[in-house]
Amino acid sequence: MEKIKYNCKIDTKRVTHVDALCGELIFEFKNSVKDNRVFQSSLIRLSSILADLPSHTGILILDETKISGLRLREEWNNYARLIQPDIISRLKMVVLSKNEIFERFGDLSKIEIDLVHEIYKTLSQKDAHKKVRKPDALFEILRILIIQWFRGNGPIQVNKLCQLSGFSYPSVSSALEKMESQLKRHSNRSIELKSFPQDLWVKLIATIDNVRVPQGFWAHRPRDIEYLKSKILNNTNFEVGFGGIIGARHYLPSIDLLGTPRLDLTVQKWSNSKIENFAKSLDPGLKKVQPGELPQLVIHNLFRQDPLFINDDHMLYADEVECLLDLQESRLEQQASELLEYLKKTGKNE
Amino acid sequence: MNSIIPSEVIKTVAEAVPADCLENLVIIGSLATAFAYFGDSRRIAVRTKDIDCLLKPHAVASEKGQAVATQLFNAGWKQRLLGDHVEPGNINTPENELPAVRLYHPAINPEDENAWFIELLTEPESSKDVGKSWTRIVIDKGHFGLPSFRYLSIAAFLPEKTNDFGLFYARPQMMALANMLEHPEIKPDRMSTRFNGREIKRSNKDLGRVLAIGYLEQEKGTIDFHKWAIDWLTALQICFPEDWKNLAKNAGSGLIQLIGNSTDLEEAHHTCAYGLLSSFGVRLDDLKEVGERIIGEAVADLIEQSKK
Repeated sequence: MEKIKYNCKIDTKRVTHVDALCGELIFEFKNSVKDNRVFQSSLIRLSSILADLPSHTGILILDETKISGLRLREEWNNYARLIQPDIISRLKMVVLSKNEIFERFGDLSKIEIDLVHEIYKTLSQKDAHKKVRKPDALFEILRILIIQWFRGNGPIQVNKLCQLSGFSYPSVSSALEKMESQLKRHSNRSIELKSFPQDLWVKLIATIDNVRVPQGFWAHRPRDIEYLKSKILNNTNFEVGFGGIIGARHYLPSIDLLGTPRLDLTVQKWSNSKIENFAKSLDPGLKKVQPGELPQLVIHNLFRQDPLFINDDHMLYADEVECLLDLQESRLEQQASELLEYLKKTGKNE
Repeated sequence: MNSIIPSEVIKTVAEAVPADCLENLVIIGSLATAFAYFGDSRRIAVRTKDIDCLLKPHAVASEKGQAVATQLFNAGWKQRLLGDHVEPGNINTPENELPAVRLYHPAINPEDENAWFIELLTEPESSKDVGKSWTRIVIDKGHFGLPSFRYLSIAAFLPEKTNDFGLFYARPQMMALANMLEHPEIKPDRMSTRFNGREIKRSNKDLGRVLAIGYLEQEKGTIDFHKWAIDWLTALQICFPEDWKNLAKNAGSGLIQLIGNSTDLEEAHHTCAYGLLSSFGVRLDDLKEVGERIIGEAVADLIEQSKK
């Protein structure tokens, strides 16, 4: 197989660059496409290259697109009607989610699929590094303020918020403006929540999928959660906070939960490969979940500067908000609500 | 292929051989594996036809082999007359042309395709022995040979003793290592006899056994495979003091190849599903997962140790 060339210049009627090239296969990689127009323009761009290179095939890779599968199918079919059969026969598309292909357009050979995986691995890593800082500061700042409020830490300097979140002063200020009505401002440029921001909390829950990027793993014969837990505690190379049910039990030991059906862990600014290697170190039999499969291990990646873990007796726990979101995500709404009410009551600011 | 109850066959063998040979006899292969995991369970039958009995140490193998073979022949055990060399040899017969001691129990009809038989083997004389070698034994019927293979010393390393019968059986993890060492790659050679109707590569059958042992280990409740690496390391250092690092480094390469090739893995699954794991309804994905765990834990730890 020929070597893959990345960000490669190709000569058509005009000089242009493509994300990857392998022999006569051209790859374009698009991450987190939300807008249909971006998707359409990607198809048009690739088609125009193919029109100039009649022996080449083009493959568009969409990773974690926000456009629904149904909509993509509609758009693809419409587009296929509009362009020349010679070009559409050489145009293909792959949609990936959570590192797995979940939809294909056009017939892809095994070699093409292997190349898609390899290119995805390389280019998504690049994107992940670019995206260490999440674009929307509002919910990150909100989460930090709620944690502060639960912990009764009192007012916090805006500079300190910048430090904890990793966002710039203007980004933090802009986020704070959006929640102005919820804030008590002090003369020394410190701020705190007036009370628990119920409305914003509901918004946070509603947008949970956009705010967090969990990676789920499963095995045919899953290992005992207690075993995985002890393995994590015995390995001091990784800084990992226990969230989900274990974290919830730390904050509220009497929480109404039997057993631990899944293990939620929180890490900070890990690359996808580090997350995968860590999961494999717990159990080499673990596999990434496919859409529709239930994970037994979920790893949440924080993008802020400080993970705000709680260290209790040499065990790190994810912050209160992470644990609440984990319970919500696990469909343990009743327990999430129980924990939230408890934290609101015991919040030292109340 | 015949289904047997492991403890029944072990009892039959133990009662048939001279009492003073019991401590030199180690059952290896599928019967040993089955006995290790199923003990005297009558609910789980195992499909196997050859009962491998290894005589150790090598220094007494010839003497003990003669005693065992003589007593079995005298008790009416019948020689298996299949294979290249079946006629007892004489003083002029080269060792590699001697027939092995392969015997059917008197109550078994050798004509029955599914009849089980025992085969006597021994461990290699030296850690430097490579490949197959033969140790001559002389009995009334003529000259026979005890075959040995390089890694049988690993298979029979520190065997477990059967509580009720006095003889020993190999520890499954040691048989797994012996199979892995024997197959550092998937070789194209196919077994001479068909396995439940299919021609199977010898490597896939033997490495499939490693997966079957791992599967049964999980069934038994073992959570991970790190302990295997410790047992493997000890055995390699004692059996191959000069070459252990190199062997440790490459021990898992065949298994890694098997897991990565769906055709070979499917063959391995076939041998498990119609062999040692016939009572379990094992799926191919289960075996693959076990393989990933053995590689990710035992093999990885062993490689790590070999670098020190």
